[in-house]
Amino acid sequence: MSMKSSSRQVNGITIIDISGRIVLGEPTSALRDLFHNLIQSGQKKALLNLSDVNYIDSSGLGALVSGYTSFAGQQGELKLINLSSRVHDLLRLTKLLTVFEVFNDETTALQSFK
Amino acid sequence: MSRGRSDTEGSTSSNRREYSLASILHNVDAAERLVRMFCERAGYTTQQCEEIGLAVRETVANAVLHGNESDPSKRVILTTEVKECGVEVSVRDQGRGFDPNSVPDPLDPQNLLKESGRGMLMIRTLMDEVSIECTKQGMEIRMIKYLTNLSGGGAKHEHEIK
Repeated sequence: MSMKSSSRQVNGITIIDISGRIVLGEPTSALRDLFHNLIQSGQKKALLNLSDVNYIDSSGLGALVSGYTSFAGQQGELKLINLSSRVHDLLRLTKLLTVFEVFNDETTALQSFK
Repeated sequence: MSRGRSDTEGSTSSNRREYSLASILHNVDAAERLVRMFCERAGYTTQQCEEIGLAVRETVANAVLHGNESDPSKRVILTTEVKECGVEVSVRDQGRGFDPNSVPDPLDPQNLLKESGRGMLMIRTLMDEVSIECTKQGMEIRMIKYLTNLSGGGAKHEHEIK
């Protein structure tokens, strides 16, 4: 299953719903482009909903880190919600859980933005 | 022997398969698919197949991008073989190899925001045995995932979990 994404706005925060596999090649390129376009259009607060992502490789993790640093570089924030157990395990293994703010529900995540 | 969109060639025997893959990114997906099919038939669970598939993705991506430097004239040799304790997957490239100890520790706090460098960590975590050999012909990574679920049919070998 290839990766699909859609975006929506809630209270000035962009929520990106991702489904499929975030892996080397077209999916990670598309995700990097998406982050780039959001930042270029002035969006500085984003929430990545990974509820329908249960497969991610090291290139996909790299794309997430790229998004994190890109938003942070513009005094913005990229946060994660609804990690599947496998994605959660990979973020724990790679200690990226210490980098990203991760939430289990959208409402709490939205309230966490300043 | 078959040749398709991903430019793969394969040879088969009852419990061993070898594929010669062109050094193109598309073959990372192809390698994952081939190995997952082999492991499903060998009796691994869906989760185990996903873990093996992910380790294969990381290994073949390293071989294509770093070993063979995306040179389409160089091949990646992918071998799957049923052993006593489970399936062994080996990936051999035609590059100059590297010292695995030279890769910066991705868990070091100063490396956490690097975009790459997590592949070997994932491979070592997902597989039960990993060995790396560098020769003049290239680098070869051999990986074994112990077959601990015996209900799926195919290869059935008892083995204690490490």
